Amino acid sequence: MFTDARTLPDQTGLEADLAIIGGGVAGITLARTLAGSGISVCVVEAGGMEPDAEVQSLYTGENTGIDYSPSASRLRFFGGSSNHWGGYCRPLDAIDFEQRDWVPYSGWPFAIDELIPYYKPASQIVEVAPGRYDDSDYWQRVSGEKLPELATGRLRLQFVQFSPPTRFGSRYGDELKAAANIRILLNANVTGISASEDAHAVKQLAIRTLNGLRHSVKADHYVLAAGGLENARILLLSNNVVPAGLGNQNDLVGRFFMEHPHMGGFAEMVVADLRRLPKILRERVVAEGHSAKAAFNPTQTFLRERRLLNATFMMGVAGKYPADQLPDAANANDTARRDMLMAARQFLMDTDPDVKPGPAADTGVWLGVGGACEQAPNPDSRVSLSTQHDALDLAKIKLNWRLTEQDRLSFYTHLHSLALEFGALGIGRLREMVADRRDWPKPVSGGNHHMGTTRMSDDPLRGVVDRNGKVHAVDNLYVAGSSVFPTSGVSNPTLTLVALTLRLADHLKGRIR
Amino acid sequence: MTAGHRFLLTLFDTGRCTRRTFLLSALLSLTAGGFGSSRYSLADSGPEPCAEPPWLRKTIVDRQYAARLGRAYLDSHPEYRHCRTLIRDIERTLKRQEISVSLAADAEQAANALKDLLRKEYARDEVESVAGWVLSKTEARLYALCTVSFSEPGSA
Repeated sequence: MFTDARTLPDQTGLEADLAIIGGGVAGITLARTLAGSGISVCVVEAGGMEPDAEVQSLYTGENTGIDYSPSASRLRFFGGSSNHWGGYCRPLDAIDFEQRDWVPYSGWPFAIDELIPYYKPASQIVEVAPGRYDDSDYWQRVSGEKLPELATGRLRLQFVQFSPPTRFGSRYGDELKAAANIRILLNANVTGISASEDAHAVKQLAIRTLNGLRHSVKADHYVLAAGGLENARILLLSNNVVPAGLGNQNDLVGRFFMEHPHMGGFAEMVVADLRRLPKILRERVVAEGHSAKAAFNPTQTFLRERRLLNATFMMGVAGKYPADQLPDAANANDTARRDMLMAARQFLMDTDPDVKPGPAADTGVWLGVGGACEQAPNPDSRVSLSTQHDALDLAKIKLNWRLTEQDRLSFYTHLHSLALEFGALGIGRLREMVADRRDWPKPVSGGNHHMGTTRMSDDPLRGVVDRNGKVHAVDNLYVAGSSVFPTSGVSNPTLTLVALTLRLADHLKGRIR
Repeated sequence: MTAGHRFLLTLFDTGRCTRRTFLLSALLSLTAGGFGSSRYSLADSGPEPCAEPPWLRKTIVDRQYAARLGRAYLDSHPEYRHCRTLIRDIERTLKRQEISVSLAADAEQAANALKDLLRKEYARDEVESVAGWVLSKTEARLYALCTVSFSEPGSA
């Protein structure tokens, strides 16, 4: 059932076994698992069924760190940020879960084995199943092209599979609407989580609408699933008992904000013979109804040896140079690429006798390289409350996204590996286009991946939630979503947050029954 | 460094080495007493032109493009401005990698051996940054050899 909170009588009090704050990927996933279960669920969604500028403006905030838009990087309507999701899916790597002595604050409370059973159904939910994220043989077979055996030991090929992408609101809305035990409360902004006097339990949710109504939702259990920025904000705003904010006794809520720094224009590649670069390495390949693209990611051995953070690179053809077309002498990049292609031509042409000579029409191609990297957990990279207020008179977020030297050095090391790999394979040459390696490539942007602000740890001094996602010292409050990631890895977070939510659902089913 | 050598250096640094200037600079070097007895062994004190080794022609067909990259390499590695140094270094590197080939004996074989060498150097992170390009050390020196030995097509 869908209910618009703006149409309820003022001061309406709703009750449920479970209240879920947020109707995005995590909230919808959790609600779906409980459909028909006999557990009454109320999903409290701040937006409506469609985007609305006034509602979206509640996501604006102050930014004091790397240039970043707290509003444009997320969406406040049913389905949440899945409504602008790019659809990139791959699980985290095993090493991402480990406590690495070279990565401060690293280590999940459990190993990847704990999540593996959940990645399979998660892949179905995001509509990429079966997940063949590391199955080179499969992609080689269906693409009909032999994949190169990487030569340096530094990198490996992994595969990103692309969701349609699943827009959770439209994809699963009807299913939730039909579930008798689920109510979706729309246009209902949670303005605070009211705690008991000892702060060990949540009593109710305070709700306001933009047309001036106030409601409440009471439940036995609560799951905060409002996204990596808003989860922290709501906890910090919920200070009726704990002045620093609910669950924030140890000053951890909002800290450790992580993104995947995304860079472009920092490097380019020239390839003289495109036959040497299989299609799946440069564009999406569709096979058996699914699409995938290869990514160049560091091997776990190399990460350990060099004590580096994770990273990923993808590339795509950006331009061709016909042999009969002279480079634009005024364009230094054209000239540089042409020089490199012509100079290295004998080293880069395919000499495989089984490969028929291709047309001599092209001198070669150049490829744009895109990359993203893991950032080390950093307590100074954080979300806090601003002195500015929104239309509901709530403090906006103040975001201070920060990166470290360790992040930057890791990224450049992996970029160097990419150059070595293409040289060792005899496929291409890489040109770094960074003016000064002491700085980040410009611009650095995020991937709209908000992680770490309610990080998971068994130790309350190191994490806001425990291994089950329960807020330490609050018996009936859980957090779902990528805000619980203690480290980010380099995979896009959606698939993992769905898997984690399925795991949380299993835990909650055991508790609520 | 002689005046002829300085003139040569200017030519290569500014990228204005044409067939005419090449011949002129070779003449200047000759008159300055720069040539030694060996085909590739020239004066020790500056960049010197030398005849293109046949194996280089087989290895790098479009040498005028390579020469531009080589010039960028020589800017940061002036110690490689001598043909003799470059060739000796390339030969030594081949030996060190246990690639058995005589560059002078068989151009085709030399080209293949160099191709293998380059791949090995990339795999071993034996690379240089040349005008932003990440190049194997020997590759960069091959391009430098093009720079110091390049003459326009048809001139040799």
